[in-house]
Amino acid sequence: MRRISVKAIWLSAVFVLSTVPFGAAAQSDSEALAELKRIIEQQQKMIEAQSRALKSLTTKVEALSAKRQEQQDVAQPVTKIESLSAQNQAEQETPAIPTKIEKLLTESKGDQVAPSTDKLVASGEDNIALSLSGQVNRGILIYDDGTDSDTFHVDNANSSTRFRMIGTGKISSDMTLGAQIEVQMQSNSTTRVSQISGNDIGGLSFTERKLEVYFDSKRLGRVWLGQGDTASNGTSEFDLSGTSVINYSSIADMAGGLFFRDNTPIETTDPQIKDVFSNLDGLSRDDRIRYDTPEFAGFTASTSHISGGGWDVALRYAANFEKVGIKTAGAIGYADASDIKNPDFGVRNAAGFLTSDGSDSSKFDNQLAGSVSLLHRSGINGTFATGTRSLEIAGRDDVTYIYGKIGYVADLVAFGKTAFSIDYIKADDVAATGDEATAYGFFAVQKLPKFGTELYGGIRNHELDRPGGNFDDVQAVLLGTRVKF
Amino acid sequence: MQKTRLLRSRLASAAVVAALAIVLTACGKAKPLDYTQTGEIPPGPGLFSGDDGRFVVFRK
Repeated sequence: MRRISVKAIWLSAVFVLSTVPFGAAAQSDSEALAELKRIIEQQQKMIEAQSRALKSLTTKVEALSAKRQEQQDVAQPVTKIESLSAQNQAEQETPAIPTKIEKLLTESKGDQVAPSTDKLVASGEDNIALSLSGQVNRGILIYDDGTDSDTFHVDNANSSTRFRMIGTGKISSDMTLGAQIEVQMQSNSTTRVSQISGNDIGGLSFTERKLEVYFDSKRLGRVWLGQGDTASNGTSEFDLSGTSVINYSSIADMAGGLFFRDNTPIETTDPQIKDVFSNLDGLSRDDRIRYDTPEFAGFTASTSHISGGGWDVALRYAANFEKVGIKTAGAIGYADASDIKNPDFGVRNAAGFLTSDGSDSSKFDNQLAGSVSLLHRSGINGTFATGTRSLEIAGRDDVTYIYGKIGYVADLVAFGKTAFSIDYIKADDVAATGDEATAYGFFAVQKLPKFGTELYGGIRNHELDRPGGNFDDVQAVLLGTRVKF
Repeated sequence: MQKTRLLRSRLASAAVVAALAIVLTACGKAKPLDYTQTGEIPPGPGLFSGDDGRFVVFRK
């Protein structure tokens, strides 16, 4: 404002001086002086008026600046820049503006980018990670029970449709904390469709598999807590054949819901495939606390205590003998379920066998089972599993089974390996004393690793000999695909 | 009959363990093998998730 006033005075002076020669020529000195005085007074009035106007404008600008300053606290940084820029222009402090804008732009970039950087920057080694994965496994099941035949569109229970979330956090260089949620969603499971279920057994089966946390130490081992695999779960199912998506020791997963029958109408008391076959695979998945030792020379020991009082121990082994081109994996597990009083675990049926749904979740006192599988670099492989279960129910013999599989993994096509296998199982006294159930089959799996996909097909014959019973064999064909997404 | 069958089963189990031990001894030094339990989601690429076989929704 002071600069404007000085400028006005200078302009007036120049104007006055520029008029002096002309006035001097036309008028006398006194008249010229009077005229000059009048002009100066007039200019002075104009300067005073301009000064008042500038003062008023300055007040308004300051009020607006204060108002914008308040809005900047909640507004975007860009607005802050504009406001300050306008304020600075009003104050004609142009040299300071670029510096302030640069500073604010830096702040603005920091505010907007820094938080997302935390979420998106990928480090070489994840300290904290959350991932999603899953698979869909669908197929067509065709059966012939000696009287009828039919076709079902099914979810393959050998490895059901499911998804999972896994979160891991590295607490230290030695310790990792993890959490896992895995659920399965089955529509028309191969263990539930039957000759009397109709072609659609109804609603989606949405069931838990794993809901657990774990602490994993490289030096001390791993502790699991929650719903998940018990220590002995899986010990009867080690399999390196490459065809386990359609056949492994739990053969009831392929067509377990089908009934053995004669040529009379099926009754609900007739045995289903899943009633008379079992691979005695530990304590399955349950609510438990479990401990795994660190791996030592390929061996890992485990133990768990499950809700209701059961407990188990297991020893696993897995190794690759590169020198002779053999991969091998195996396990043995012992489970004691004598104290389990969980009503979900089983109810006694007419045969004195405790079962809730006819599956392998059957109450027993103890069992010992194991499996081993070998795969040679030539592709030839073999798998063996066996076990025994003590029921200690009056009049009931112990349950036993033996399972074998021979397979071959071939490079027939460029886009993935092709695996073939034949298997055989003999299970005794699973549902009732005197039962003798056998099954054998042929299976093939084509892998498409680039697409996370397997195509499979197989056929199995199931036989049941029961004292006083006369059941026809049941043949089942399963064709399908598993797609990992 | 039952006891004979049980004995047979346990002998078979012992034979398997013994055979495995012989094989392991004969094969010399072994390297670790990552074994995925039967029935679980297999390792390796996924159709949509690519080589990772999983969608990483958060990473830090």
